[in-house]
Amino acid sequence: MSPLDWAVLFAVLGLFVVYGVWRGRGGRDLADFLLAGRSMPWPAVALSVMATQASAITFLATPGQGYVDGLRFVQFYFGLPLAMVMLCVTAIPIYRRLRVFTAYEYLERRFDAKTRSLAAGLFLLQRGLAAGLTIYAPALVLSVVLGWDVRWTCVLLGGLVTVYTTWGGSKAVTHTHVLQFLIIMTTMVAAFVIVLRSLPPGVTPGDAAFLAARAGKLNALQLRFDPNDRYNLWSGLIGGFFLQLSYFGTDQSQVGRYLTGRSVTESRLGLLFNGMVKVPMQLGILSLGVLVFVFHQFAPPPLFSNPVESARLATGPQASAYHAIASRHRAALAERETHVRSLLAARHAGDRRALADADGRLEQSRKDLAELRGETVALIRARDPSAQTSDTNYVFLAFVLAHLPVGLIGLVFAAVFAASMNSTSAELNALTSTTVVDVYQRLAHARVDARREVWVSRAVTVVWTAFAVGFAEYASRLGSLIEAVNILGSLFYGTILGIFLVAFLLPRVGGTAVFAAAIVAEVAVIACFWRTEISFLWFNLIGCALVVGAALALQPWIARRTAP
Amino acid sequence: MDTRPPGPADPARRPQLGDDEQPPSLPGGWRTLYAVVIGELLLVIAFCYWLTGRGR
Repeated sequence: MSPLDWAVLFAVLGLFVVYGVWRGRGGRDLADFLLAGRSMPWPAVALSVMATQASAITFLATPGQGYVDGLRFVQFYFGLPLAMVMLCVTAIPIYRRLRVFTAYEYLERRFDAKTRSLAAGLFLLQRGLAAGLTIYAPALVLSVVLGWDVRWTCVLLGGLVTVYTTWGGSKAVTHTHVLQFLIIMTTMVAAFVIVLRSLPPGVTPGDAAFLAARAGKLNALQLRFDPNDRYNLWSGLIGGFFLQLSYFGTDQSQVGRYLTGRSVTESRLGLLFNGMVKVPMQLGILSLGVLVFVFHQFAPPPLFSNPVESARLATGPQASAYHAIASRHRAALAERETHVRSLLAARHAGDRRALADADGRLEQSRKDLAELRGETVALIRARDPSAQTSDTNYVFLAFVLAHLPVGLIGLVFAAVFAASMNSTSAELNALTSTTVVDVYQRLAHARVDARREVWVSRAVTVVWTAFAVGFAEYASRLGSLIEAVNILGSLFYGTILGIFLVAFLLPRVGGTAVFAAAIVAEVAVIACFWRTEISFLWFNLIGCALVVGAALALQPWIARRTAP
Repeated sequence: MDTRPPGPADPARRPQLGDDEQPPSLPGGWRTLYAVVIGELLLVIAFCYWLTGRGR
């Protein structure tokens, strides 16, 4: 990166911290610190909700996913608008009317203390570990691309977030979310426009869509039902609906965002805005990846987008084999470009026969390139069996570094940091809320004064940051266990959602029945995870259905046993 | 042990309209807005179907 890019990067990071501290000033009590005084208008609620969900990996991996796999990932979000509507009808009015700080506080009022403790405990376990990965995953990518030490990158990310989250609490988090999210979106739109304008003369947006379609990248909808296929219409609509319902309805990192709204109306409008914008936004980010793919039909992409692994191959014992592959790669790319241009010429001429010929030759070129890539991955594995062999997360940044103008590169990196800070700050605020309201206040018995509660909350935020950064440092040594921690959310979300659905929709079911049902469901979901090949999105539905079904079955039996 | 008597009288069990709930200024109120959100989803799915068809 140029000195201007570094200046832009550090100026924007400094701006986030100063802005957060400034907007977070003046918090007097717990409602101010944990819920921004319940004072936010709906646009702030909406952007905060969206910023919380969109972590840095979303902005790194999603264009990469579009590049490699096309648009099919968009189906993952199809259930989200339906979940937003459901939550506007059920959860928001209840949470707001009871003036709760956390979703789990509601469970004690509705059921009993043990059910609240179970849900809060599952949340702290799952979200506490996830917060570490929210820091680690982008830190790993940034450290590779920027040449930094991953541990210090984690410390930098955690440190920046801690300053304003600890000082200003939820108010600082919401206001910085708005600023950060606007910068991220501006950067993405700028990148999209620049890629589009960088296509060779004579290649129109229609040609770009044609090339993407011919390469199978416009595969946005899969109608065939297959429970083992991660992304299709049905897993997105049904599994995704339950996942999003659980995430937005019962995960404090989201509940805490919309409870900052100044009224039921503001909270609802915030969620509905998210419901309208999220799916088109994801489609846009995936399309950016597809567009980068089309751009690379004319401009040579790197053989492997992870610069560290490429450099290791180029200078290590496999250097001669690597350079031989790189030479064949360059020749294959030149050949592919010729076929791509022939295909476009045939399209413009309306010559079906030439189109079919060019299509066949292009397909052969793609196979040759895929083989070369496979050989490169095999070399990486031969050098180090534990090395990263997927470069999806590096595709977009490799493009940014090679093709975006000076200044904008620094802004893109600032946007990646911003996205990581977005989700981390919301997670830390939610972990603090749950620890203070669901653990500390219950153990303290007597209420302490408001200012002391704010200082306790600040101390808890620092402790959770230290835990998250510490886990992020440790995560670099976990290897494949990282994936297991990522799946952790899906193992618990269904059960927690089931508890809340029973609370909202089945007034005759009591605490003991739902508690026992939750234990049964959790054991069953974990058994499904170990013993079956079912895609993880379905765990949300299975866990939820089991809690509801078992609670309904157990309630009459428990009622008879406890009847006087 | 669950000692609470189940029933709809508990305010935690049944949603009610709050004092701070203003319906949006649209004919049909919230229901219209919910229908708009779901309608837009259907449009996006239809667009995805059309996009996928272009690739066949």
